[in-house]
Formats: sequence, structure tokens, C-alpha cells
Amino acid sequence: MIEFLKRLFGLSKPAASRNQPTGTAPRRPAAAPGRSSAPAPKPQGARERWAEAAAKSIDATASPEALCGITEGMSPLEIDQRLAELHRRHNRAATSLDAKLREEAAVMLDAIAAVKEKLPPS
Amino acid sequence: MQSSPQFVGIDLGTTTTGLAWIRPDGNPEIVPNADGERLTPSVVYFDPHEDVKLVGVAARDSGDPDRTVQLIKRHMDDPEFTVSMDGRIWTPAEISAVILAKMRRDCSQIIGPIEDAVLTVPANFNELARKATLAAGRIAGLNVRRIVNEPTAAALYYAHAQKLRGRIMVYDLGGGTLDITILEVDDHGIRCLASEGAGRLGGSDFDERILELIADAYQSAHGVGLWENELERRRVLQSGEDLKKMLSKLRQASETVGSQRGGVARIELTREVFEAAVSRLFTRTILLVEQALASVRFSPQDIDHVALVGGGTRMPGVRRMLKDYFGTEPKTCGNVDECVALGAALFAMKGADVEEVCNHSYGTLALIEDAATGAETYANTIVIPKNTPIPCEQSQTYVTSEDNESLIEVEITQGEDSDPKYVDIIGRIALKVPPNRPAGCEVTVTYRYDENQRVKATVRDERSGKTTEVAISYEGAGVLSDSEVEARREAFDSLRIE
Repeated sequence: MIEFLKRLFGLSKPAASRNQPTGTAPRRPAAAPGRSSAPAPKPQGARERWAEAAAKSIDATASPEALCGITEGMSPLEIDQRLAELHRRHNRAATSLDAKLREEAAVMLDAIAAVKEKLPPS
Repeated sequence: MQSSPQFVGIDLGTTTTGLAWIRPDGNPEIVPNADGERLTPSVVYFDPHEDVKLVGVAARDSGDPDRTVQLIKRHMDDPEFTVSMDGRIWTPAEISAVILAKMRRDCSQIIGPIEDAVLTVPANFNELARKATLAAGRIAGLNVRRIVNEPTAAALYYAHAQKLRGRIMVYDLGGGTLDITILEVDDHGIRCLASEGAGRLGGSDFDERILELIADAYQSAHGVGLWENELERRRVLQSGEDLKKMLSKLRQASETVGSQRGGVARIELTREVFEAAVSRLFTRTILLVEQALASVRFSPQDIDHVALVGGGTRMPGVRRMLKDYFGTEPKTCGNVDECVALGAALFAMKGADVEEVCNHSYGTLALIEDAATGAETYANTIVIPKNTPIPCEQSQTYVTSEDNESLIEVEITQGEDSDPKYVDIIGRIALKVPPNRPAGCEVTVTYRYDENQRVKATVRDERSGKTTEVAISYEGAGVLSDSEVEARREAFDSLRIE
């Protein structure tokens, strides 16, 4: 099994020791998991947990708010920030090499715009 | 015989293509095609009787949708997309090459033989689409000197024609894409600060909405559908586009449509109804504007000018929306359909004065361990962040964490999202290293991003000094290898294109 710890973050950032007490360190570039919708095995680690989550499709019949994860009690600012985050993600996914992801992105972008329209002007 | 023009720019657009050159007086000028059109519809028709490919208005009006290809630019980033015609498979790059070859051949008759050219692409075009565009130019017989982002080219034109200076946001709503680019322009040149794009948001999406309005109105009045096949649908779509253009000038307009089943009908539409139907598309463009501003931590007040580019910006709703958002009237140059080609010609002349940024992030996939909690996350780690000035080079060094590793695998990703689901893996490498080594050996991954926004990566095992280049290669029926591109280029010389 191939494992390796990331030690340097690019040229402009200081080197981080493996024994550094805080922060995060990429540990092991792993083989790309498939994006199939086949049932995933029981999660064993971070990669498996991710693969299981990634295989789930969105529910295109859900309300725009539900698709965007907007809940009661969120302030307009929180909603706006959430929409901006989702928009960056799904706008990029709209030109993904993965056709299924492109379809999902189209649904999500429409939902994001629908929720945005209901917000008061910032 | 005329000498070769030095500076030529081509805007290979989703719906129309334009070619411009720099006149001897230093000003850019659009060169019409052999049919006398300043802009050529990006449509190709495969004639069933003669071995000829029609491009432009003739192709658009051919009347046979099964033999007509349009909006091919929207598929330049799709590795699996192909067009099958008379037993031959055409990739998006080849279809685009037919359009470019028409432009090269026609315009050469006016300004002299065209060999070198700058081609424009949407800012959001990914690595595969840029590669396909370069291939299209090559197959068409062009020496593509540079690929430049459409908003950057347009900004060059605005800076040249209107002497705009300061922080400029280019709002480029073309036929198939929307690009939002923020640039700083002064007397010494142009510096791109951020560029964001939507690859599936353009004038053709507005046309689809107006098509739905027309179809609903017809259904209500006649009780039958307006079309039963693609040919009929495309005719109504063309009528819808005409109606959209009329509504940019008038508050109310009408269009005559009909079918054999329901007869002819005159559809009346107001601008108000149209704008209500497309409001969500307008909102999506504002979301992208906000994304671009957030990329450089600007507020709307930090922008000195908003420059309009693309036919979609003729819609009054777009201008009103931008005026409301920025508090100032957006700038227009009148020929919003042509300014990208004109700017591309200017870029060919003074590209050295322009600093662009990369439009995608590149990185690798890794398991990330939080040293404080020990929790692991599978994530995309970015080596070259989006909006880094290009050309650029960045490295990351890793250390192996286990003894006796003999194979190191690295996956090259495109996309800034930390979740691997939302990035593309565009290259993979397995680097064999000598056996029986302890943990802690260093491996350096280096990414280079060239001026055409093509990326290359190398992986170096620091202990052995062994370096391997990662081939960024795509697999799919719609992708041509380098040797296939060369073979197509030779075959194109004898292709009849009108």
C-alpha cells in the first residue's frame, strides 16, 4: 500500500514537520474511487466514507431550499453565504468530465437561483 | 500576391465566429467571409449529395437538422461527444476545424494568406476544451500562436477603443457561456485579477425559455403542440430568437409561427413577460458576478467600469440589472458581438502587455489527517490555485510514511473544490521507486501552467533523482491524439468547405 505524508505546501509556505502538533497534513494520495452508484461496502476509512457519500444522487424533486440545505432559522446572510458556496461548487461541476455530475449541477444551479431570488437585496 | 497579415484574431463562438486583423494603421477590423457576412454562424451542414461541408448562414438555413451541427462549442469539454455522419465519426475539434477552415480560406482572399492566429476561448474552458481548441486550429491549417480568454480580448478592445482605465469588470454573455472577468487596465498594460465562468449559461438558454413561452401560448390557443420533430422545433427556436431580439428594442413584439396540425398563429409577447420567464437566468449571472468579486475580495464599489460583451448584453434586463447592482451605467461598445475578435487581433499585436491568470486549480488527491484530532478526510489538495498569474510553476513535496514502498501513485486534479467528487482527475502516474527504503523519502510533485493554460506535471523521487512526466491525457471517443490531429490536418487540405 502506498502512503505518504505531505510535508511542504508549495513554495511560498513554510515547511511543516510530520510531528507538528496541530494543523492538517495530506497523508496518502489514493486511487480515484469510482463514481458509480453501486452499493458501497461498509465504510472502513475516510476514503470509503467519502466514496459512499459521493455515490449518492440528489433528489431532483426536492424543494430548492431542501436541495440547498437551507433550514429554518438561518439568517439571510447565512443563506447567502451558503448559496455562494454551493454556486462555486456546482458551477464548476456543470463542466465536469462526469456526465452525471453535469446533470446534477444543472438542477442545483436552478435551485440556488430560485432561493437567491427570494432573498432581500444585499 | 498579398503578404501574410501579421496579426489575426479569431473568436470561435458558440453561435457565431468572427475573424479580425490589424490594419496597417494599427486599428483592428472585422474581415467578412466570402458570403459577405461579418460574423459567420458557427453551424456546419453535411450535404448528402455532394462531398461538401457548408458553414454559416447556408448551413443554418439548410433545413435538415439531422445533417446540421450547431452549438458544437458546448461539447468541446465532453470527452465522449461525437457526431456520426455518413459512417464517419467527427469529434468536436474536427467540427470546429471546419468552421475555422472556412474562416481562414474566405478571409485569406481579402487580407492575404492567413497562417498565424490567436484564438479565443471562454475563460472557464477547462484543459480538455483548450486542448480541443488548439487541435481545431491545427487541423484547420492554422498556427495557433496563443489561446486567450474572450473577456481578456474584449477588455483589450475596450481599452483600445474607449480608453477605459482602472478596474474593469467584463460581463460577457455570449451564445453559450457567461464569463465574468475583473481586470486592471493602465497605460502600461492589462492585468487580469480574477476570472469566473459559467459553461452552460448563454444566449441560447434565453432562447430556450422564449421557445417555451411561444409553445405554451400556441398550445393554449390551438390545443395542439407547435412541433413534432426537430426540424419544426428549430424553426420555432429561430422565430423565438428573432422575437427576443425584437423585445430588446420594443416593449411588445409579435412573431408568426405555425404547424400543419394547428395552423398559423401570431404570438404576442411583452418584455415584462419575457423578463419574468428568464429572471432565474439573470439571477444566475449575478451569482457569478458575486463569485468573481469574492475571488478578489472586492465589493461592487471597487469596480470602476462594467464593460458589456456578447449579444446577450443587448437585453435591457441585463443592463438594468447591472446598473442596479453596481450603481453605474455599464459601458457598451455597440458591436458587442465583434469586440472579442477585434480584441483577439489586438492581443496578437501586443499580447506581451497582458497578464492573464489560470482559470482552474490543479492539485492531487490525498487523505488528510488532522494532527490534533487524528480524524482523516479524503480531499483534493491544491498545488496551483485558480487565478494565479500565468505562466507559473509550483511544487509540493511529500514524504513516504511507510517502509518498503515501491510504488508511488499521484492523481492530477482539476478544480478548486476540496471534495474529490467535484473535481476532475485529468492525469495519473505511478512512480516506481527502489525497494527496501525506509519511510520518510521525499517525493516532489511539480505543476507547470503555460500561457495557453495547458498544464504539465512531473513527479520526482528525491532520493533516486528519478523524474517522470505525467501525461495529461483524456480518454473518450471525442478526443483526438496528437497523431490523429496531424492526420486530420493533412486530410483537411482536400476537404471542400463552402
